[in-house]
Amino acid sequence: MKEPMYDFRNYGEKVNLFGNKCRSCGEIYYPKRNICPKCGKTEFDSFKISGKGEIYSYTKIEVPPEDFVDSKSYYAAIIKLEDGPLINGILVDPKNDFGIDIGDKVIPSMRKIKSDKDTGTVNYQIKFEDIGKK
Amino acid sequence: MRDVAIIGVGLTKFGERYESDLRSLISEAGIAAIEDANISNKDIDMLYVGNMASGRLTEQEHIGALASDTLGLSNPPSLKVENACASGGTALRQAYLAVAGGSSDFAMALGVEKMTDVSTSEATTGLGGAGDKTWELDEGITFPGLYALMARRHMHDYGTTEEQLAAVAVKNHDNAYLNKYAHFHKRITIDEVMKSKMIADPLKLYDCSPISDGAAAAILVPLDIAKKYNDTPILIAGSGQASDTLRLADRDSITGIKAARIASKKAYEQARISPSDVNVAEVHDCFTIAEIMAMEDLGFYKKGEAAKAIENGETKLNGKISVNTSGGLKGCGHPVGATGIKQAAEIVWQLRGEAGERQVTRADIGLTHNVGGSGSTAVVNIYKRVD
Repeated sequence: MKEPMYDFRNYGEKVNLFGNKCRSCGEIYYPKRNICPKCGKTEFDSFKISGKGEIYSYTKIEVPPEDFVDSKSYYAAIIKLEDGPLINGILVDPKNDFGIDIGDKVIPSMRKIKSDKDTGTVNYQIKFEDIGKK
Repeated sequence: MRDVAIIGVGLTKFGERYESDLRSLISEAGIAAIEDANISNKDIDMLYVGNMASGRLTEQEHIGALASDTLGLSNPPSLKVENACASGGTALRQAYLAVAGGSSDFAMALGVEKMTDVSTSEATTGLGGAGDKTWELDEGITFPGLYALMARRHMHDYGTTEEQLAAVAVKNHDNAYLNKYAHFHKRITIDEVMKSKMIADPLKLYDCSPISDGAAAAILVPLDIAKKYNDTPILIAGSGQASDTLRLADRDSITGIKAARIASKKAYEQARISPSDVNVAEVHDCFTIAEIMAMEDLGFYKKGEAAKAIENGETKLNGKISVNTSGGLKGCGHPVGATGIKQAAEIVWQLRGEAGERQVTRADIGLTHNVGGSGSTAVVNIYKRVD
């Protein structure tokens, strides 16, 4: 699959962190849902996730997917968002001296994620930056 | 609902089977099961084929008909059942339901996966489809990465160690050493696991099940006619299945698999047994952490206590409960669609007392636990001797 085909249907949602909120029970979802798993209702309001949260779990992926040509390895995490839901994401390479740990706070950061092997087309994605336990 | 028994099982050698294609793997396991059941291929009136990715891995779709054709069946309804890594267990359960419900008297469940005709990278990408393509894989979370995220949190919450993860691999390689069908016949040490290549921290190469070719088959009939064909029919005493969110991050918890807890509760209730009644279990150890979680989800151990018990040898052959006597996915290999049915074959052999060098001394009740993706599907079946 050529790079421009990747996720174009969800691209806006992904780079803007647009989720939604159930009008009935108030549950927040990212990605968006059309029927609420909690209460079964189908009316939602758009909701922009702040992207701030803390690391719930993490791993260092040493065998990246083929199209992740830019990095030999990278950290991936599940993040518990301040807004409620858990999401998965990639961490910005840590430049700090405290490493990566469960409970560290993160903030969102738009970064280049992969470039297509054939066309060179660059794709961007929200990554997360570990800002420590403060 | 009629009572259902397994009267025949068959297996191929698992591993890199360069000489074998889909047809030959299907023949090998299918004919073995038909002969073991003492029936004719013409008796089979329903065929479920468990397979995850034949199209992706071999460009062959429509393998329900392919398997029916290959085994020379008498035009029964046949279909492929796809539920990622739980395809085999799901196919077996569908066969069980067909016989229990009265629409089939001789159902075959056959699982097959031909994985080594493509590069490791292509196979891994294909298997990644068991997770959430759009919201996990495309975002850079590899499939081993998902289990690594579960392992890391399990270590954080319960103090599980990397050596305890390694103990699962060592035990399962020990069991596989005694199984002629297993992919690996090589005993390994904790140290070797710890020093193997890091895949997704804390999971190393030896924490991961391999890419294997293989097939497995089982013949299911109503219990009341089973004795005509086999002196020791094995009753399917309970069967449960459940689904959960496709994406790991959306689950209630990532240190266990809720679908497995729901499926096992249903199976235990139907079989009217409790977890402590199980003598021998085949569980889905696609990664070592998965076996630790399985021990807890199935109720064999309290949450957070399984890793230590495994390290102490409680789940070895003839331990408190014998787990993955076949070698599991780790040692026996993981031809994805075949795995769930291979698990049943191993339990049938154990309950019949035909498991050879790896025979468990007391094997009256067995259990299989087959998981799809990072826990989005789980199938649990319980088996009993009835003689």
